[in-house]
Amino acid sequence: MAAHSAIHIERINKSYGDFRAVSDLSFAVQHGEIFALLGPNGAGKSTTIRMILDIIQPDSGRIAVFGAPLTDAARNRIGYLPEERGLYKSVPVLEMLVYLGRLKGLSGSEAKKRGLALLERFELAEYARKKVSDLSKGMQQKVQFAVTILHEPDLIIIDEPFSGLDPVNRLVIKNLLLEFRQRGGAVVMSTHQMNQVEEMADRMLMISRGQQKLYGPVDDIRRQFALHAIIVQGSGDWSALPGVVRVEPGSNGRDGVTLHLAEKTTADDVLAEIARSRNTRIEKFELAIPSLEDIFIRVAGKDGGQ
Amino acid sequence: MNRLLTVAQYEFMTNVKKRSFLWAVFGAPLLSIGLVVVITLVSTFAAGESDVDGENVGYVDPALVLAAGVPAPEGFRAYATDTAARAALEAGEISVYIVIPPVYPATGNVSIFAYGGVSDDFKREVRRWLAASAAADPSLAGAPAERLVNPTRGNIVLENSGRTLDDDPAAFLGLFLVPVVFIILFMTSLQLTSTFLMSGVVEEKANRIMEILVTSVTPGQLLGGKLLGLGLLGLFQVGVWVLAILLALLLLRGTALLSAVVIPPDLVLLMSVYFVVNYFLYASLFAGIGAVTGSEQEARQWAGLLTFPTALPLILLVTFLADPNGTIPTVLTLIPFTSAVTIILRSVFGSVPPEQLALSLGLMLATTVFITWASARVFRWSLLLYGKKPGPRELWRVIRGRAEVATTAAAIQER
Repeated sequence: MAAHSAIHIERINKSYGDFRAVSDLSFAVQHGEIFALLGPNGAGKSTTIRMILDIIQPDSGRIAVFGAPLTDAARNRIGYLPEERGLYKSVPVLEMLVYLGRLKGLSGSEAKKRGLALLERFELAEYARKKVSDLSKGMQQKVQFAVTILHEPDLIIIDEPFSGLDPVNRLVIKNLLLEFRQRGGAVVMSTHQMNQVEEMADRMLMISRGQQKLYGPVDDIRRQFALHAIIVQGSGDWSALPGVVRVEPGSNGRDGVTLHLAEKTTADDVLAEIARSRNTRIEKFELAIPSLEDIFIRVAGKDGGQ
Repeated sequence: MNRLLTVAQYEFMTNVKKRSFLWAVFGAPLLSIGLVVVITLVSTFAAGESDVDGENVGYVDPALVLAAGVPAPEGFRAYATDTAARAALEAGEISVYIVIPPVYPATGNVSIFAYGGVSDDFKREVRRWLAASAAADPSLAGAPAERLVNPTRGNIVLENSGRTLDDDPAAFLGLFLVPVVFIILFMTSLQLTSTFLMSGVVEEKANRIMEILVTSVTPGQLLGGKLLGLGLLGLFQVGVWVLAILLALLLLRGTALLSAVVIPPDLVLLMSVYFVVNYFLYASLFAGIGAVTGSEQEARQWAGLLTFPTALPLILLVTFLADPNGTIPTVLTLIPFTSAVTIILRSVFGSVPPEQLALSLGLMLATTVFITWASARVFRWSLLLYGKKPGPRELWRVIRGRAEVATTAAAIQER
């Protein structure tokens, strides 16, 4: 794989009249990583994706895909699964796969071969000659995914990859994406399912009102948002511990209570105190690192996003 | 270019299998052939009934121009006056009568009066009789030699037109046949392919597959591929129909209708040119409409409205018969949406002045180029526009290249 990033974006701007959809946005997506593009509805995610795909052009800034402005050859190396899924309803599944594969530069026979193999993998082989409209919603989702990867792209841009899928198929798609990363492919995943981002994404970009809010490795960002607090589970009078300034019951749906600490108190100090104390019994002790969902709500909420 | 051809091939292959297309291509001509065969059989049968075989023919020769020595064919009855012959016809004693006017030797004109059709056999018998008479009687003033060669010249000359017809209803029909077939073919083919194109675009937009398509092909390739693929589909349809017509002609071989069919080569060339240019005019217009409108139902309403002008000259047919070079036909010649059918009708009933023809073709070509170009712009701009329909002013801005401004509201609403 080439040394350059799969996507490199430098200070792009896009306005629609007075409305600034994307403002001074820069980021890069590397080969062999799953990159999450997050943000509330209307944050500018779709506009950004469309600019990457050259469907619309930025007012200013630079976008490089595989190291250069998007060419026809580069287009053939991208698989795109838009949020609004679309298939030809009255066309047989395989015929449609072949057509869309050929538009991505495959020969007819190659597209057919790969289409059949993918349908086999998705357990849809028997539906190859059936019309798309005869398939269930979940099956259509899988066909849609097959369309996205049929031409064996190097970059997948995928909007809400798991919507409409049952847990079994969710796992199939998830494994496919992880496999794809393993082979050196780059994935840009735009989603609202934060648990999936925590599980799968290496790095993330969160935008709100068209502007960058958070950008970097998912774990680093979560740590950045770590509260000066710990979560404990057990029994005793937590407020009596030295250095604990406030006790908050529960911790965003998790068991235990959150102990907010005085400025100079560290988690180690509190742990030592608990060990010494005869009034407290401890079952669980952890740093209060918020979930991505908490971070999302906090950042988007502050920004007035919906 | 490769992708454009892929799109073209896909559009052709998927639409050619559609039931509506198969019906239009094969069903309708089969029905037409059936209809023609039935009509021919019925008319032959009817002609047989009214066939004048020498037993029920009257003739009136008030000036006694026919040679007395040549007997009338068997069963021909002489009547002294037109009135007497007509009375006999109305009474059913005879089924046809011929009037030989005093000017016959000079003009060759005879009038035939009948309620039904007259058979070729009958006409041949009359001609033989008249020729024999001309040969036998040197007193036949005027041009006896000419009368030997052409015993009758019962032509109908259409006013304002250089075209002449035999004194045969089939001939009149024959003159009309080719243009009428062309107009029907033209309109159905145009309607069918343009509607396919439009509903295809509407479907791709509604299904949101457009988002995937535009990441693989440029809007220009997509539009070009669709125009090409469906244009070829239209040609395929025309090809099938032409074969069907040839088959029909084969079935009608030897009938009066066929012998009277007139296919002037100039008209065929004109029809072909107008057919192709008009296809691009309408197809690109419909593609633009398909891209802008959100629903197939709405698109169809527009399509109906916009194809109406092609039929307008047919509705105003009487005007064309009265004066093919009058104001209304002339104006319709210059309007690109009505010119195709207008030109064909005018060429049948009269002749179109060359400068009008050139102006009409020029205007149509210019309009077609403009509409294809404007549609391509609108097409590109509105492919990913959902939910909101642009108004005419917004569309005009898009056509003028101010697309980014025009997308404001739509884009915000969309995200």
